[in-house]
Amino acid sequence: MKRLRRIRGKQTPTALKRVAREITMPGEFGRAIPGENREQQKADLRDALVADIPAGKSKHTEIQNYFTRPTGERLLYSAEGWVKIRLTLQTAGPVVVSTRQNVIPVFSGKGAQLVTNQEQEFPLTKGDRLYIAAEAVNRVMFIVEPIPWQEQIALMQSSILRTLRQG
Amino acid sequence: MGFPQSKASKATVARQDIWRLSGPLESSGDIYEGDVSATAIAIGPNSDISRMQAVYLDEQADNSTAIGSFSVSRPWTGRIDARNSAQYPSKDKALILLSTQDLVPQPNYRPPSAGVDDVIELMRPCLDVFFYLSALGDVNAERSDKAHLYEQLPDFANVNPQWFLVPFYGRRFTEVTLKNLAFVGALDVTAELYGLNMSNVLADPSLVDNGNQEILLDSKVISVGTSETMAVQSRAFDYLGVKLVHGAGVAFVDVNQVVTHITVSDKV
Repeated sequence: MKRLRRIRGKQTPTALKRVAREITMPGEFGRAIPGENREQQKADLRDALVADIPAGKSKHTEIQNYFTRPTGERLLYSAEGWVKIRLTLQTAGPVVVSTRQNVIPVFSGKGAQLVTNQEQEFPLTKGDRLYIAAEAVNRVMFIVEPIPWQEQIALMQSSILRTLRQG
Repeated sequence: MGFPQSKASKATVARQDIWRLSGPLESSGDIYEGDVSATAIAIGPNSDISRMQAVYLDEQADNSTAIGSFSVSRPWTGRIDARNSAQYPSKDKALILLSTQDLVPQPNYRPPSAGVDDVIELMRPCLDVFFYLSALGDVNAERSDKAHLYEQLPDFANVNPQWFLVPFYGRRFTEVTLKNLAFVGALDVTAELYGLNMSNVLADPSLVDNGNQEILLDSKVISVGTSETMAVQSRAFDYLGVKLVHGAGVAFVDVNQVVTHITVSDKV
């Protein structure tokens, strides 16, 4: 930021305007974040605008029935953006889900076991994967709900935290 | 029911809440496989069989197999798992194995008191099992009453007695109505009711102990042109036998001469 020109301890209107231009970003998220430099602000805005459009499979809500295989572990969903997964086991089970691989055997205690007729919600961050395993064919109601605004909130949170740490 | 049997996994994919295993039993040794887990298993409304068992994998049990019985008075409630990725000690997939605990007669079964030349009309028992794929609340294992109507005699021209054998597993009450139609030359008909219990020996008329039988009603005479009703309650046996004799050594005059109506019920 350019040094303000002081005239006998007071800041001139011109200098104030220059400061305002320096720290204010254009666009929807234009509120200035104290302490951030211009390049960082540009980068944050670019990421926010890109994240405003959900990428890949999470552009719209998906609703379907998923049928588990009788053996083995499968990749149920790979999140290309922030999403909320809602699963409802409609048959007897046993079915387990996890964001880590190697969740089998099903009765090993790994993963989270789905409960029949109870909806369970799993928020996934960008890049997370959800794996599923079962011992028999089961019917699972599978709803994917994109939460694209989560990216902007996360970015703003990270920027605020960075500023607070610097301060 | 024949083999190959229907599959529970197909019922699951078809979004059904219940997989129904239904059809005539071939023998006591029939074993049916459930390849998906169940939240409950119950005897269905059309079942002649009253007691069944489910075998499933339990590593803590002897031979890693556990047997659970269920009947018309007590369905199996609670999850029972089919394990497609595991095996029984016999190396078969650890699916749920369903079989009857009631003894089913061989196709050539003859009652112990039947003569060598008596005509036997044996009704095969019907299996009906409800395999609950999802949790549906109350599980009802009540059976429907069954009515068997025989408008024709099995071999009316035969001079020997005619038998009708119907399943009675777990039933508590039966009512048999016999009508002797007034054909020219018709004679009085003598009816007898038997309670028959099966055994595991082969049906052989030369054996004295071919299962056992108990006479319920002896020598009820139905005059020409009349009908008679006989009722039996609170007795336990596997099969109900109705024996008809048209005068000693005399054949019936018409295939429809005697109309036999048998009703069996779980309620007294």
